[in-house]
Amino acid sequence: MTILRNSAVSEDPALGSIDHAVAAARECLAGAGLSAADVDVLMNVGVYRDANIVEPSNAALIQRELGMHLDYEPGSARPGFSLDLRNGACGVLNALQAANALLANGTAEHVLIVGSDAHPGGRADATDFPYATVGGAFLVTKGIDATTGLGAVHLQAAPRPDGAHPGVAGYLDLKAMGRDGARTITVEVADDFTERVIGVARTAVRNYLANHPEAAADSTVLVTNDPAPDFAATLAADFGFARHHQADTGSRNAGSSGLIIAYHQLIRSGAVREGDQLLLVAGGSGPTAGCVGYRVPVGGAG
Amino acid sequence: MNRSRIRALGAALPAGEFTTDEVLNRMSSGGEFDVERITGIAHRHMVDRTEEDTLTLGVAAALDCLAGSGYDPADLDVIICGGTTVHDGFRMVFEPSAAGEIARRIGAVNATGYDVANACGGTMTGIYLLDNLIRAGVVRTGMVVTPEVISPVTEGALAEAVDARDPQFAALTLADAAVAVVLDRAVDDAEAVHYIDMITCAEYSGLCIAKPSDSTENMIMLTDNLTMQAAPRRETWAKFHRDVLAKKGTTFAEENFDYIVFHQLGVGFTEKLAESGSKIHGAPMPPRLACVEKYGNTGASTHFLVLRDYLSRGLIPAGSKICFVPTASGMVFGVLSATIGELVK
Repeated sequence: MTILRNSAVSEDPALGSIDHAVAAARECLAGAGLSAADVDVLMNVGVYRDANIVEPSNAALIQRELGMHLDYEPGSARPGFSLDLRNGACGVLNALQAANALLANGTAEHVLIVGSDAHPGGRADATDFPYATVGGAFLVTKGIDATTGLGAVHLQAAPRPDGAHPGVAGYLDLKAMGRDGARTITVEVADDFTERVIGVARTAVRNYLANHPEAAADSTVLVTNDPAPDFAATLAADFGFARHHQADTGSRNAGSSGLIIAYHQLIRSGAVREGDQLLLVAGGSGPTAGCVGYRVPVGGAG
Repeated sequence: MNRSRIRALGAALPAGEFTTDEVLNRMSSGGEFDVERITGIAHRHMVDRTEEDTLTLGVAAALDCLAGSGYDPADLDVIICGGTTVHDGFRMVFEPSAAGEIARRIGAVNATGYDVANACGGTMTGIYLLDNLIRAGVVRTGMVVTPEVISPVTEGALAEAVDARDPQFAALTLADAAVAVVLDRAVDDAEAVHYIDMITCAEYSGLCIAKPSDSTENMIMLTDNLTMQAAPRRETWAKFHRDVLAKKGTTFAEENFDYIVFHQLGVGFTEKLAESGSKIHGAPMPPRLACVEKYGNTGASTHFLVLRDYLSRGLIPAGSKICFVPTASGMVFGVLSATIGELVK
């Protein structure tokens, strides 16, 4: 099965979104004894980017800074491919699902998932931008046995009538931006987002547990991003999860790297051991939520 | 091991049609550019942003695709949206995903939706992921929908580009269009994705940058065309493809492609890509599909827009084996080999 071979987090608020992704990626690879040249596919799930650059993919810019497969070496047929995958805070789950498939098919041996967000104008303290300026990285590889590692990813969108707010709407208003578009962003969080995102997460977890008895709540650690205060605690109380941990990036939302940060914080705390069952849950804009089970493999986790 | 096949193809074009002269007559920067002579682009479709956007075009292309597929929206397990940017009216959206919203609007109640962005390689990137998901048995049926709304940077170039070497020249060649493809499990070789492989040569990632302008109230795209289209980059797709085939123990000539489809950047550029292909593969190129004169450079939608055009004119028989060659900012290169059935009904 697929395992999270290592994880890393980058938190210096002075950095931009590319810098954060690169810093987290470097630490993640170094901790696993690998270099950028070992990465076959780089998936960037970051949403808010420096200067609102929309082409090329931010993944390509991150790849360049990492020095990963800068040009094709004829005769190699090695992939060295990168892409942006965007689905708010749940994009990391889509990326884990894709990584699972790439590894299962032998398309790739090492998949690096990075997520980071920053205010496009570098204003880490902007009061109208709810996200922390942070980044995270997952190194995803094949495990050594069939009983530990990632299960199937389950995602759930909440039904939403026409015209209803998606919970979180992040955009650049091209009519109002003037000549300051490279430094402007609007993030609207609906008043009822907390209850709606918890609602869709509740449905996602309920459906997941119904099909995955190994993730029984009384012996599983719930690990979540932080779309709302007490997101993990509320779900843990609802389902009776034995333990829980929610991403902690102070007063700001951890954004696209939230689930990576939560996992990393939990593992580094030393609170989980080989064989422990985790349920990784993310919720975000849409509202959408999803989850995936993870049994900590031999040798623990990064 | 499962394989995937391209089961259906749909497209949608904005209502507004313009000649290249009509577009360039709106130039307010004082620049003069002979876009039609240099690129062969005579005509294009561009969105009216008060009525058309990524979501409306995406829904139209998705429904057009499903209409010929034998599938209902509820049959889709995943929808991947592959456009460079997401425009909802005059908003350039970063979250939620366009795919989720398109899924909602067409009633794809069982589909997970997410966006991939890889400049003009977006559709192929979506197919790369979907093909892998189907092969791994993670999903059975999915759609890649690419509503490409990139004319906002053309507006930027009309306001800012001034001289012949202007980095905004390429932005004057862009146009809008949407395509959608449904992939499911292949049954046999008669209709199958044989392989798709992609690479990013990130050393060249700075050669084409799209972002909001500091000079006018527009999105702009700055492109170093000379370096991006220089001979070494024109040969990269063929060198990579040659190596992919060598690993499989075959050659381009032995693949017996019926057609080849390059990224529709301009008439001359695709001719040069084909020349580089012949040189590296040591084999003649199959007939080339091209519609750039009619649609302009429609970014990530070009390969399937041109295929849709030929199919709707009855020019491509079912059972044709097609080589698709993406070339994109990043720089992204790749190859998709597929034998297609009756995609457009």
